[in-house]
Amino acid sequence: MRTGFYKKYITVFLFVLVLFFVNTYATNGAISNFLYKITFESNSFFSDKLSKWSWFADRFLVSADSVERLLYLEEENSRLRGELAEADGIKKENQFLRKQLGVASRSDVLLEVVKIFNIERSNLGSTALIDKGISNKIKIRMPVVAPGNVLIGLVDEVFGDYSRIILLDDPRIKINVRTQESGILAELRGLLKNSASLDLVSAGDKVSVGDSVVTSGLDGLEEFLFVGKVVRAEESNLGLFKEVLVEPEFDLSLGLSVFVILN
Amino acid sequence: MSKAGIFFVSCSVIFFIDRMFVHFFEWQTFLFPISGILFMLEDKNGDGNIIQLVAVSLVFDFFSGYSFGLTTIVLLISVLSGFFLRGIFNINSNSIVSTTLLVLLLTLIYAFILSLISSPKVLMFQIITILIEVVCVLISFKFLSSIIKHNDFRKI
Repeated sequence: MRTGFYKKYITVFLFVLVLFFVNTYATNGAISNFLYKITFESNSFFSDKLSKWSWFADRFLVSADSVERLLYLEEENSRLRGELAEADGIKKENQFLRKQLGVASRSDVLLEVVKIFNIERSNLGSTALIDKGISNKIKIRMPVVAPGNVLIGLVDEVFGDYSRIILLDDPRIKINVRTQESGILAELRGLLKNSASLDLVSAGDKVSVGDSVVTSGLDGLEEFLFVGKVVRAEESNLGLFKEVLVEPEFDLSLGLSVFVILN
Repeated sequence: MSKAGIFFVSCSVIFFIDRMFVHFFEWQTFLFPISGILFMLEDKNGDGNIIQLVAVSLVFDFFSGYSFGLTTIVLLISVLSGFFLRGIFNINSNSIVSTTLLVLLLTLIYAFILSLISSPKVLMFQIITILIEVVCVLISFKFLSSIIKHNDFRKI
């Protein structure tokens, strides 16, 4: 029986191996692209519905806190309006100074509007599929953002007409970030379940709950993309580094139309 | 219903649970690799199930978030490790304890290989989940096998 099993096993294993290499390296994901094309409509439907139900269930389960949450959001909203007005003033002043000093302005970012049609949160990854691919000049490691420069994830694999993005809580994500309040540089790593850790924050660094985390731009990504907020900052048992947890800001249930930064 | 039929039905249910649990309970499941490993170990000859396992695995693979085919390759490696381990340690497949331990070990091998590709930190967080799910799957399997009396469906 063993010989029969191993013969069959080797044949099947080789078949899957060839399928994997042909799809990933030889044809730019042609098989995946074909399968996504077939399942596009059903995927879109279920992702849309599931994310809404999930949002509903989430809000339903936390209904006891909803009044408090609403008050907090209203307060935050008015504070953000104030900050927005201030930022607007700074922007105008910046433009004026650039003009005076003859400094060229920062290049405008090129955005491609994409739609998320599938969200996969599995046991070892957290990914989403978007409806644009090689034909729309999408490339690996391009950042995907929501309105308001909120970072969602990075492009991980590009097919003909579709691409896969890894979300911020995917363990494969590795982004150089900084805290906006204290300017501390750190490395963001996904931890699944809509959370990520800030690695390399030393015990002496001042990071507190509620601090905003943005991209630092040191790893080639656009600078100042909003990542999320610190939800936990504790001294580590080992003593050298802090244990800092970040909750990504973007909630996929709020909308599936997003942007890919092309340049 | 044949053994393969039960496997296909179970996998359809798992596919549904996979999609629902993560959205509503934020619970990520390892039910498919656990069931796949159990399905392979349960077969004494071990040569009839591999094609069915791969066929179903490729469907799950398509939704895994990894390159198409990768998780199937990892699952096949885990299954092969199972056959080697069973042969080397002469594990008695009729014993529920040894089957549980073997399935647990093989699922950890599966998770370990995938965590090497993503992040080793993840495996530490998933160990408890894997342990709970292995026990749940084995209890369900034992319960099912006691209900469905079929010649091909051997009790463990």
